Amino acid sequence: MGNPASPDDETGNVKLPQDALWYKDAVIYQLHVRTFCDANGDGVGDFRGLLEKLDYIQELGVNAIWLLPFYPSPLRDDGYDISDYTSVNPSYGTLEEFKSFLAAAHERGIRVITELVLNHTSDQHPWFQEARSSRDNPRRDWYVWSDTDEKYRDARIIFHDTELSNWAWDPVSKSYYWHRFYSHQPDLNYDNPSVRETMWNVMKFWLELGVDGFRLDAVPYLVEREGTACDSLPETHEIIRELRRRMDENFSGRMLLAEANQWPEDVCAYFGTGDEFHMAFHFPLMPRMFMAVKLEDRKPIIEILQRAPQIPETCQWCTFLRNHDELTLEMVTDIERDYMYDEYARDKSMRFNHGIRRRLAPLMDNDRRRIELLNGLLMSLPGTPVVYYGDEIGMGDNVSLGDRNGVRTPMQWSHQANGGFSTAEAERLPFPPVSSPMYGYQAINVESQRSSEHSLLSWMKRLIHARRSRQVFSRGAIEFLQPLNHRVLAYVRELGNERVLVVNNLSKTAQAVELDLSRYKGSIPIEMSGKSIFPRIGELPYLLTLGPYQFYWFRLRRI
Amino acid sequence: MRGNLSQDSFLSDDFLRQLMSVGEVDLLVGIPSRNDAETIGAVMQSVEVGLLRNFPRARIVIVNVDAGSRDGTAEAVRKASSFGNGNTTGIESLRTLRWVSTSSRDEAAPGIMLHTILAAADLLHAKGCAVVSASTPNLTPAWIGTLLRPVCDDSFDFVAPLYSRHRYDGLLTRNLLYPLVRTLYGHAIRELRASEFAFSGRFAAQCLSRGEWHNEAVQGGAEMWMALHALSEGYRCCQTYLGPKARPRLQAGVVNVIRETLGGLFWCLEAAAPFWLKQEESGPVQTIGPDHNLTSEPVRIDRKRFLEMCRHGVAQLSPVLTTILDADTHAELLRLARVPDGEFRLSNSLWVRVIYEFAAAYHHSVLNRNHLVQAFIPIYRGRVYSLLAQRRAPTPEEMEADLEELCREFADQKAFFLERWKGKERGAS
Repeated sequence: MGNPASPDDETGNVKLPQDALWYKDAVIYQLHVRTFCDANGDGVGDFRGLLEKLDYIQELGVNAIWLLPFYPSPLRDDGYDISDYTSVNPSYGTLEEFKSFLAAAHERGIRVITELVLNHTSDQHPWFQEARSSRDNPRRDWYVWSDTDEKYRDARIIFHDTELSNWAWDPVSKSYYWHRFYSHQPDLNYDNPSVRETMWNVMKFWLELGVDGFRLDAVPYLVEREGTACDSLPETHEIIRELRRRMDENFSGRMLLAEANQWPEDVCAYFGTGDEFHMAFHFPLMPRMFMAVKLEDRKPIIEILQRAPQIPETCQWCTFLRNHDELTLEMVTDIERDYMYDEYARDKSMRFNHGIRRRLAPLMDNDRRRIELLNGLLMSLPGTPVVYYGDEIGMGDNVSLGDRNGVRTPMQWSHQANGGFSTAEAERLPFPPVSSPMYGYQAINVESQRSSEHSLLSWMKRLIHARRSRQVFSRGAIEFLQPLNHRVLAYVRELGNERVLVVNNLSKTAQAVELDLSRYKGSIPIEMSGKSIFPRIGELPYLLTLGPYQFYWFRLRRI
Repeated sequence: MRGNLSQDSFLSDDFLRQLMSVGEVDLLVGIPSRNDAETIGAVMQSVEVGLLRNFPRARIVIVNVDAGSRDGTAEAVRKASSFGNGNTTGIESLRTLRWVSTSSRDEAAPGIMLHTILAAADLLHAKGCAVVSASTPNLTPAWIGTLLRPVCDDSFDFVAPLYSRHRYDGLLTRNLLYPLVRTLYGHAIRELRASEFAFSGRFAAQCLSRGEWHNEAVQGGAEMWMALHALSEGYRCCQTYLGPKARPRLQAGVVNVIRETLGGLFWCLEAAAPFWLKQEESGPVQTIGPDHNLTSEPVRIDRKRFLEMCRHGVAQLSPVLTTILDADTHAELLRLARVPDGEFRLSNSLWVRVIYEFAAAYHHSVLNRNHLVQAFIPIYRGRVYSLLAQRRAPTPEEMEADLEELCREFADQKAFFLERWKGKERGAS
């Protein structure tokens, strides 16, 4: 499982195995330093705490970590409002501590992906403070200003729950500035070459430290043009290509991951011809996995996956169930959105922007079988999967914390105070840990699950191991079988001579299904978790029965 | 040729396999078909659109039961449905649209097709079901919502349709079925032999459990049996306006229609006697939706031929009619058969009396029941002639008034009928 890192290279960084396509084989663990583990007892998670928990992460079986923003920030958007790009928020530690964490991760064969918020800064960033101080300031043109709020009318408001306009009035310089997100997050002006050069230098800073990749936040919105939606413009792609080119020229084996919440055919543009992003999130697939389980019908999943055009050979979709944001329902139809709200967020306080701010376990009503099924889909469908911290133990959420904070509560390590996240007094924590009877840290925590072979945590480890054991999952093609029983989603993953048959019962009742496996006649299905041998495939339809929400992974072996 | 229901299961393995793959549904629409290649495609499309528009979140299945079509109906079904997983409408659908289909090699009776649909509904735990005809060319998507909403939203168990009919269409229904059932059962369902109707899953399960499906009388008029069964067993019934009733492309001959309708009706009266013998009053079944004109423009009918066949039949069957009818009634019919064309009027009074005497004779099995039913045919033809001659172009209001008058006649003679049914001697006062 995973290749060990090799000794230090000439830069002092631990050298990971050289595979330009490592991201295809990654299983990524997404976490926020702030809420993962507090080592110094001040109530806030830090890099020292994260380093202490690297063994846990390694044990889980993942081989990449994606860190939410850890830069200096007034934290009005949980760190996505950055006030210094080349430093570490003092609450989380120092740059040296970051480097120590990075090295330790690499020693364990774990790559590190960090956030790069290209689109905007905090209004507390010195750049913006300078830009607003005067219309003649050299940095004035680093942001997008206007004397009126009339320009770019076709651009939609993304945070429509809280923002009424994409323009905000700056009383200091007596003009409007452009912001696609919160008003305290002014957009940088990428028509300015200085901005582009500076942001490249920011990237270079972290790449030189050894960071393996960047998730580029809000990338479609870099450029504005009148008469357009200011979304995914050709100029934006040009900027990305430039950054990619420079990165490839100077740093091998690094990766760019796009956050572009769009339809598959539109996201494909961000792959370019293999010269833009290496990976992009498959946003439209995610809600459809949830939809399929509620509908008990494979239709939403198959339709969306068959809709995506072919992507360049070196590129990969990035798949996920949940993350730090709301479960976005932007890339569904109105009928689908209404259905999802009615089924998953009947309580309107759970709805936020165009989405649902709940964690995986509560969305699944804490039904272990459904949680396993969703994770099984995540790990067996094409794409690089991301596991959101805490979902591996079935953590719950706290909607009353407002914004999306309810899904960003402290990691639950033990039944001790604060869930073992921190020794500080509870009032000093950024958010309180979940303490409900069903999901509270007393009931749901790493310590208790680690000791049980039958816990969700133990099961997740086995699942991730199974996923990583076969490259067919990470790099193979997919062929959907279409049995008559629409409650069963079945597909074959294929890479060279390796074939895995995946069969999922999306329904809460037992199902029988007949699969046309005539193409694989003569193969012997070996169930992957227990290694049991199943009847050889013949000419007749292959009959399988599955319990509620059950799934099988079969290696199809020719012996 | 009628299908054989005596085997243990009448569901083919293939059909069962298809049902297995569908699983539990909320709504089922059954489409029986027989040589309907010309129309079934459009009907299927309307059904799909109707279901998607009215019930976008429901789990639905459309079940086609074909009775040995030889005109390419099966092919038309496959083409229209992208068989098994189709959505040919272009309307957004959250779920996979399911079609299943079964066919018999031989021509199956309508009752067998309906029985198959009920079995599918029961196996799939459908909460609401509708049956529509594959040969209704003007079936619209709105009909589906109109039929199923009372079941889904208001918990009705049986939903009968109301149609606008051509003025002289459905005469047997207007002149016999409706007023007789209204009088005896106490509830007024207008269309008892409808090709479109809806029912609840629980009613379907109850119907399925009955042994009547093996009876030839039920096989020929199963939808009527279901409607009457719903009335007599106390299920919640209503009727709802669908639209104009298009005349079928191929009309069944009068002989077959009378045989199936009257035979089925009299059989049902037998079976439900304990219920209707206790009914004293008559009330309307709830009608959903606004009132509509229930009659529309007439079609051309060869009146003279009807009269000729009436006279001929009454004369020919006189020995049989003697066994069935009172002497006075028989004599009146014979007299009527001899009057000039312009004077021939089979009055409401005589008509109702004849029907009641036939029903009682059927009950007492005075002769072979099939022969008894067939003996009615010439009298029916005479009635049709009378109706056509009575008013040249009655307005819808006049036709409704005539119908009410007829119903009153049925009610007025009910006491006489009950006496005859319970076994008083013929002709005794």
